Amino acid sequence: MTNGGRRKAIKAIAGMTALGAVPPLSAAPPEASAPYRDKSLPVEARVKDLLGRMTLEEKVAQLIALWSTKHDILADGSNEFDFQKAIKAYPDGVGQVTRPSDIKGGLQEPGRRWRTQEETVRFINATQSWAVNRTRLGIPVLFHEECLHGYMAAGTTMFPMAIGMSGSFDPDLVRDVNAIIGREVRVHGSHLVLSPVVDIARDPRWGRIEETFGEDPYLCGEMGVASVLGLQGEGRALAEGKVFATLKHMTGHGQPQSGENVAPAPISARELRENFFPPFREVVARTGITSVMPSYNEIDGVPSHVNKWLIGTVLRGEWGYDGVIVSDYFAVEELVKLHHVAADHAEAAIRALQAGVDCELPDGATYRGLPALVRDGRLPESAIDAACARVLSLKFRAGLFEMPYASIDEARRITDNNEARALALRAARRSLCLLANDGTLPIAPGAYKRIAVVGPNAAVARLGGYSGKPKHTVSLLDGVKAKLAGKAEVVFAQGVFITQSEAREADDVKLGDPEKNRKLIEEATALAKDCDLILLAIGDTEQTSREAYATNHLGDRTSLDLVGDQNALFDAMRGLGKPLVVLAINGRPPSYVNVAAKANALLECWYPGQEGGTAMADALFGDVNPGAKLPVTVARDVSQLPVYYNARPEPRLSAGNIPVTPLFPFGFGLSYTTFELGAPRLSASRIKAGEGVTVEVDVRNTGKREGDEVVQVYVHDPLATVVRPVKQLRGFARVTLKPGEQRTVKIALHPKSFALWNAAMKEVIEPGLFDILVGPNSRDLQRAPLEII
Amino acid sequence: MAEGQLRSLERSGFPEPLALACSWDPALVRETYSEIAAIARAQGAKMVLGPSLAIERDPRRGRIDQSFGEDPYLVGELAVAAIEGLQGAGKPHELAAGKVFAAVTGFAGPGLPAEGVGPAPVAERELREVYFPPFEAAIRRTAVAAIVPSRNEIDGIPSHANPWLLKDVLRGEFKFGGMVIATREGIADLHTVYRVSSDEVAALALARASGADAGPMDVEPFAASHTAHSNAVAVNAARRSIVLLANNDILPLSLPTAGRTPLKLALVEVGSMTSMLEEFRARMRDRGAVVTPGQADAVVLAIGEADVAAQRDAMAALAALGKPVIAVLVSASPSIDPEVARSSRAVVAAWGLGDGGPKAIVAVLFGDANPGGKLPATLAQNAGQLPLFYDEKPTAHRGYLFGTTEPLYPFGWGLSYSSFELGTPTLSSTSVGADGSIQVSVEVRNNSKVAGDETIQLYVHGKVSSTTRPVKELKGFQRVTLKPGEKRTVRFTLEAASLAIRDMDMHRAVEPGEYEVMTGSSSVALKTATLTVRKGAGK
Repeated sequence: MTNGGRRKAIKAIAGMTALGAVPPLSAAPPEASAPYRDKSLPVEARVKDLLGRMTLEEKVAQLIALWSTKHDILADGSNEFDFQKAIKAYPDGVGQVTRPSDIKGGLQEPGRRWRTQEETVRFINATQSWAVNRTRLGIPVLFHEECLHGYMAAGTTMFPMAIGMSGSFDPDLVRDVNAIIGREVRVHGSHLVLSPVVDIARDPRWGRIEETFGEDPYLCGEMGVASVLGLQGEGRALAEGKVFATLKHMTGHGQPQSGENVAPAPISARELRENFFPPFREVVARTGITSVMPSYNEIDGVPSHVNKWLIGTVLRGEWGYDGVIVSDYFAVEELVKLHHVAADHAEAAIRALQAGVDCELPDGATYRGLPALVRDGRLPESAIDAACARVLSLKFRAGLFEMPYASIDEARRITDNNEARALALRAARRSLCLLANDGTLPIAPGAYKRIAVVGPNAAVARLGGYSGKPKHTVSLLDGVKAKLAGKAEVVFAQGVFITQSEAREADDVKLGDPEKNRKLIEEATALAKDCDLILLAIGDTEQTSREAYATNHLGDRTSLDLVGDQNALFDAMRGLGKPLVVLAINGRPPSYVNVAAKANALLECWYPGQEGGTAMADALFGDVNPGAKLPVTVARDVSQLPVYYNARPEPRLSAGNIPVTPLFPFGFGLSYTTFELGAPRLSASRIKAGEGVTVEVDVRNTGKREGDEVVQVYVHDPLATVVRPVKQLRGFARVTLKPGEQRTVKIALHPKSFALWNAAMKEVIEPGLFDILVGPNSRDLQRAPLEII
Repeated sequence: MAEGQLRSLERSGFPEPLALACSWDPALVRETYSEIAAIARAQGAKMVLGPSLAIERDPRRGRIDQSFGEDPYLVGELAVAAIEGLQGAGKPHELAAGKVFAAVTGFAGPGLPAEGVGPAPVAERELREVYFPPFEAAIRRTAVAAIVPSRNEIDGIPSHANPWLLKDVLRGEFKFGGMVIATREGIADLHTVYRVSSDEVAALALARASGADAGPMDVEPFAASHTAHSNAVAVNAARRSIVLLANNDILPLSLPTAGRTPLKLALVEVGSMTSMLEEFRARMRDRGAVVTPGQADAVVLAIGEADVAAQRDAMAALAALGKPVIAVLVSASPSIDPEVARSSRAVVAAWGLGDGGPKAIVAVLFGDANPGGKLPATLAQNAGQLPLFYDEKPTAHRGYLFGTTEPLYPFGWGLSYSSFELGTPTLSSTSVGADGSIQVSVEVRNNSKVAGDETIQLYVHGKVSSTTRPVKELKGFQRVTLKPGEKRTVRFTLEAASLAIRDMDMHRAVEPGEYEVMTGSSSVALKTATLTVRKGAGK
């Protein structure tokens, strides 16, 4: 332990007021002189030494975690760690504790879900003190947390939802945001997080679409790499302020049959390799990623948690991944309960472990039985050793043996500080996507004297799923009022309630009472008719589109249009004949055909994070020029699904009433200024297979405002041995240009940009002519030919 | 046969395949296709294009009206019957008089999408468990002359250019000895759509190299021409293909009796109609006074190719009059808005019935014929539920917010003017070896005062398996006609081999363990017995 680290630890322990006897910080930890304690030795040597000292039970203990079972280590009727209970319940130690910031397993109080910052740090430090000092080998506990778009805990900073972050087309921003998120997690004492999600999302009925970076494998890969580098930094060891990321969910989760969460993914091998694997593969290749989570779903009859081919052959074999595989929550139990591919917990544990799942989250319900299975000869101990070695390796690389404790002072100082808030604001500004505008936006300050802010999403800062409870949020109404203070009158009307409750955790979702909503619409109409501008905030809520984690907690939908009475509210506002600007606040793509056709302007804000209201007001009044693009194709109607831009061509049966084009194409987004993109130029018109090429495009801001354009490069192979997608995104760059400014954007295409998986399922580059397509979205493209010889 | 010529099977005047599949009656299918063969042969054709052996599980894909439905077993049984009807039973070396060769289509995978809908994913195990079985059954049990590759692509490989599909699977595994015939469209797709060939010459060469050994051939339309006999066959086939989906004490319509005022009926149409509606109207007129809706005792609403809005508008207009509505679905493929269905006193599925349709529909409405058809495909409530099929995996369709996973009408569903009571299945043995078989018996009784048909359906479900398996799978069915009060024991032979799945290594495996054996009148009205499959072989 470094002196600094030791000082922090002493300070941390001294700050504990946990129930039960707090043992004094012993002079020396258990096995103080063993090689595994020597941080100068390579991790492999430390793992080998430690593993050699462990009993079967101690090894298995490293593969489990405590969530509901936190109960076993908490004082009765309390959320505080209890040494005596822990010593008794887990004499062999424990590998992980699941989500230390929540009170699962502890004292349940109505309306309470989180520990305070102080309580979390105290719980973690006390648990570590037990593990380090009072278990035989002193192996520290690994705490893991959720942090999709912010540390999912109390008092932390909440950033825009993942789908919005992806729409920024700004990997540097994603990296910066994740660095802050990781820092806030780490400072509380956790070293592993279950983020990012790199599923490609191909079904907007699916309530988890908001958690993804969208539909494109390349974009998801770039954002995944940026997220992981932000969270854990470069390399394979954790620096201070960093946490190990978990790549999830491998795979197929994002194209569930009929749009329902956890439903089968009927995805074939080439489709997996070409579209679903690349984000995972990129992250494995370009980062020190050391944790991967398989998906809940089955792929072609094989649940991912028993998929040896997926985990063993592809991930560990072909890609050379050597980190841990952590199960998704309850997924091993679900092999019995949902998939019916195991008769009981024992069979499920054997199948999952043998497929390569090292840790069972959140409680290790089936893995707790592994010692008996080894003793009964149903499983070789070598399988346990392999899994345990990976967990230990992660713990060594996390530096947990040197410094397992957190400091409450540091946690207070760092969490949600000014730097974090400023970045949350910047991230929100850069994820706003302008979908329609007849010139109503931006609003000139002073142009309107009385402004109605209306709608169910106007006065509440919607954060989306996987959110914590930030100290501070800014709603649209807050943001507009602050912006216009003293300049115009701002009035508010609810318009409708989307749902009857705002409780995010509620299982049952009831749409707002139509009768009450009718009255609210009347009130809003009466209020707005005396205004000269209407800002209407509509969309979804954390209830109306969410992770359907149980049959009594649903989140997927059969219709993509606005739910409840929101279209009626929109029509009532439209009927007033006033300028009407719609702010879509949601995590699901806005298939709002009625709104898109009739609003004067439509700004897709996604769930913009805790500072979202300020960012939205900035954009409305022209202090920020929206520059994000859609990371998903937006369907007009559910009957079009699946609809994604990089589909392979097929002959079509002409039929009936299904519209052909999407409402908005992938990569689409407007600006308050205009850009002219020149024809693409290539650094070479002919290259050899295995060489790259640089695409140059002249971009000019032809308008009167500074603004951002995202230059997008797509590749199409017009003749190949297997059917190729109509186009595939292979590069992009977001640039900011002053009025009149012209710049040449250079985007490098790597050899793999031209690769395909041939009939023999080998990744090859087939010589021939390629189309290089460049433009401001996936629809409006200019072409340059490239020959590969 | 004129060299290089195929005769289309579409618009033959007989019920289209999806309609015929509603009969769940292989003998009827055999008879119908035998009649079709005779007509085609008389016109000089020696080979016909079809029927399709495709499984259609999404009405936005494929030509659902040209398919026998969503279930691998049902499609396989009806395909075998159809091929036997066309070519003659068994494996004759030469074509008998009045027979034609069948060039069956749809090999393999999901059908083409409608304009505006994206591609349907499918992977190898699903291909093998869902899409291949009808072809395997046809090759094993008939002398099917030719197979036509589908126009779709599977995982980036168009079926017309898929040597794994056309050689390894079809020739190697299935031992198919007939012709593989490429279609003109299938060849053209290779260079114009899929872009795996530079031009037509290269496309043809690619198809040939991939296993197509004939074609492309021209397809001539079927020239429907009926004899008195074929007319009778067509009407009988149509009658047996009608499905009574809902009936709230209104059907059959009571006939006018002496001394009483005849029933006054109105006929309202929505959606584009075929000429058969004129005949339908004439036949209705024969049976009672045809009046305007305002004057009618009941309204027959014939729903053709009509979108939801048109259907609802029509229903709203009738609802305003307060008249009971009998909805008759006469579109080419299933289409009814759930609201319209719920507002109707009765719903009759009568799609694609062909020339015998009007006569058959009127006979059913007035009770001269007792409907006995069952749905060969799930009818969804809306596009948001798609795909929706009964033999789904246990993780599918766990629920929607503000929506339902329930279909409008489930697979195997169909009512009758009779009422039947079905017993619990009894097994000849509660355990079986992996290569054995058992008898499944179920008692069925007609509890009503009218003779009628019931189709007893047998489903199985393996409780635990190495790879996931559907929640239920059809493995047998029998349509029986029972007199009032009649009781009969229906017997099925269930081969343990039919319980096989494709295991982790893609091998066919009958896995030991417990299986539910379910019988009933539809996929949602089932009674269960438990069967144990023992390890290893033996009875």
